[in-house]
Amino acid sequence: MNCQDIVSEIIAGVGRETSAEVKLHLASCEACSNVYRQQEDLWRQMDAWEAPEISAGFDRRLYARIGRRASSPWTPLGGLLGLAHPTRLPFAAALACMLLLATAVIERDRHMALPAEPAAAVYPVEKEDLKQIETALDDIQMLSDFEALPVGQIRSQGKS
Amino acid sequence: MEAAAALEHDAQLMLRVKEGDSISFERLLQKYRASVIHYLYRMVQSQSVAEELAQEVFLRVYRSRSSYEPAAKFTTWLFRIATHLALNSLRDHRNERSQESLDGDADEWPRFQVADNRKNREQEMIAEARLEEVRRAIAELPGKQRAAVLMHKYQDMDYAQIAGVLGCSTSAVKSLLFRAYETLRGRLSHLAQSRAALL
Repeated sequence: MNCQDIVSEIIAGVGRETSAEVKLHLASCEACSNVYRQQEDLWRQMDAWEAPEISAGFDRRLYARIGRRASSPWTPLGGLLGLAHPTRLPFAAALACMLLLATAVIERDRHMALPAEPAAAVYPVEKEDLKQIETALDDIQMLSDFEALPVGQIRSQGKS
Repeated sequence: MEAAAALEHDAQLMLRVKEGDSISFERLLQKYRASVIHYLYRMVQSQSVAEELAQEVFLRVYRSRSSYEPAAKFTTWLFRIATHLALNSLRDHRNERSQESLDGDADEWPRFQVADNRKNREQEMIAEARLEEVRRAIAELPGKQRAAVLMHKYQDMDYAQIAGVLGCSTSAVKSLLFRAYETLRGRLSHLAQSRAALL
């Protein structure tokens, strides 16, 4: 080993017992012996550098931040991905059905070219609103039947 | 053998965190909180900044739990996050930090613990001054050299682990440490001389 290898060995040891080979070299090389002494002294100086106490509220602050992250408003994509979780599959299925139903209602409404009252077909789709949607569909059906009748027939029906 | 078991244990804990086990996260936090904060403290030389960065380290560990794969040793991954944040912080606040360091914010520095009651005030002051010089000399090292020295000296990491954290080869770490310690010995050689004179 040359002098550079010896110094590397000394450094790698971090103050631990040096090998016999290093000891032998140090005994005969004044330059390396000086480096060894300086390095040992440097480590002693560094040992005096103690880190301060950790703040008492460190964990509390961390968990509060984790909690805030967890309760932050979810992005639309994240929300959709979240629905893939096994525990949320029934809810996802129900939501998909409601969306399909709503789409069907809107499409039907558009094709029948009813007087512009799309709001009647675009009810907010919630699970508990299913009955309301069915009622709305019946109403639409009734209105379309009503429209299909000739004007004169309606008037005569109205008079009778 | 013991290190391998520890690796396995940490990785297992992290895999449990991945499955949603918060207790395992708490265990990892308990185990590595101090070493991460102390490492960051010596990197940025500010207690408040170190704790803030350590919060971010553990927050990132928690947020990355779903994508965690035990490819590397857990501590290597942990200290890679810590080093990355510390180097970014040093780069972003270089001017600010150097000013604070020159001002010598007394609250940020740990008080030198006097183990021997027989030491008089003068000796305490000398010890504090020497420590201050050590801190400054380390603070003046380039970021990667500083990180390598701190991991080597205070975290008891070997070349391979430091290389894993810094994302370089073990020979590059050997070279980094060689140069860093050479610089430190040169800057602090007068301390050794004055110490020898005192003794």
